[in-house]
Amino acid sequence: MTQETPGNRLHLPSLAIAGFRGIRELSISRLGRVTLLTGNNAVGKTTVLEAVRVFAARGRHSALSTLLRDRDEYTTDADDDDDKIRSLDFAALFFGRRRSQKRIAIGPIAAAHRLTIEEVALADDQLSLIEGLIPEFPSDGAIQALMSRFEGKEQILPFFWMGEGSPADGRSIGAEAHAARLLRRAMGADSSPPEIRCWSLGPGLLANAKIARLWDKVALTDDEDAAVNALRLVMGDGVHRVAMVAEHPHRRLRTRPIVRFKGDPAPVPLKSLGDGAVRLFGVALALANSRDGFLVIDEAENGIHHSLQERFWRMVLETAEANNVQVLATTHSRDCVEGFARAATESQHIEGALARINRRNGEMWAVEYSERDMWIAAEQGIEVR
Amino acid sequence: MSDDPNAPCVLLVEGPDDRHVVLQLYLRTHDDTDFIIDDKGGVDPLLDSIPSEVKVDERKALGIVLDADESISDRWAAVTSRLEEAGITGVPDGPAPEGVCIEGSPPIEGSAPCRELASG
Repeated sequence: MTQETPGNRLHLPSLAIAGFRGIRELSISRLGRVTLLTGNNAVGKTTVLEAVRVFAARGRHSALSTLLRDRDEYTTDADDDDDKIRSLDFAALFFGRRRSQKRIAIGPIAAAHRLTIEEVALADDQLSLIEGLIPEFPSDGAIQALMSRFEGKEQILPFFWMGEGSPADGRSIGAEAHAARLLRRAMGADSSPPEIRCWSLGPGLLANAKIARLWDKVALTDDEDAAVNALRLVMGDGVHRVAMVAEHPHRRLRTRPIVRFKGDPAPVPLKSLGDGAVRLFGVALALANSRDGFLVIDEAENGIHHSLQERFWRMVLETAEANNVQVLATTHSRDCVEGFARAATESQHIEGALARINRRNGEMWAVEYSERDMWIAAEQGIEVR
Repeated sequence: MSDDPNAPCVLLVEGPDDRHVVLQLYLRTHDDTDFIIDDKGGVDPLLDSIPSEVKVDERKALGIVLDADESISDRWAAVTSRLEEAGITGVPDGPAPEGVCIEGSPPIEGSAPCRELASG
């Protein structure tokens, strides 16, 4: 199980980030199968997770625009009627928001496998290609572009600045993604490197629609059993089955998960069982959906009682190893760190890693703990957060 | 005196006797301590804890008091290997009679009041 084969090698055995969002430079010399990140508020833990998502997507336009949208990173202006018009502010991807002569680099410390993103000037033929194919592109609009590079392959990512009369945000982003595809095709169809699957769980509870999407991929597979077993960690062995039911046959959004307990004829909504049940079930489903890829979890401790932390992490470590998923998670909780330390030490063949992200006077660095050190810290009550 | 083992300034000792002796010696010349004395319950737990104790966030000074009644060089090596593991550089090859104080090595930051916490 410990032998390294190309199939189970970690995508990121280490991590180096430069020039991305609030991170001027940060490196972590060793990531594990599961890596837990601690550190004070606003040090940049979530930004590390975002960097991993961008790396997994190989810098695709869709990943960058999702990130910017989730963070409300728009530049706004007003048209003649004083209505606000918006466009995604890709400068916000770069450290200090200054995009000139700035470059983002994300990847393992071995520089050859890093993703880089920087601003480029489009050639005239590229500009006319976009303008010709998007008829509504306004004459006073502007096109700026980023270039992402990974292992020798390049992608151009156009960002539109549309003046007055510009289409709505959604259409503009859709048009950008379309233009990115056109440019990719024009540059040679195979020029974009394959994406790595990456699921992301935020601090809050999963919405029913997202649970239903995750469930679709595992229903009637062994992964379904794994997800139901995760629920049993919280609710006990009485959990019998889980199903998704639709309130209305044509309204997918109204699907909700229900749980049946042994000896009880009436199923109950999953969400009636408490935050811990929803969280564990969601993490198990996301692990099943992230096979051979990444799972990033922000504020992993949320909803999970301290007495369950060790069992939760054992489940995460074992499932991540079995599914070849690399997990990065953040936490503020001491119980979470201690549970993780104990579970990781116990699972000797699965690598766990802990790093605290520090930031002082604008500088960032990672303080790293081996499995043994985090176990000793947990046993002796030494603070690692 | 604070009793928070994650305080900025900590002195690690092997057991309750050492804790008592060090405290009484210190209080002969001071009214109170501005560091805490952490009894690690034995030499092995103390040695094991060194890398994590060094890495506690915002730790300003970490002192170590160890018995070396059998082999000074072996005990010194046991301490220095763990300090190096934690990224502390500039550790001398052997101890000094007045104690050894290593200043300014990352990840311990700032200028520490470590004159009080010399190991020996």
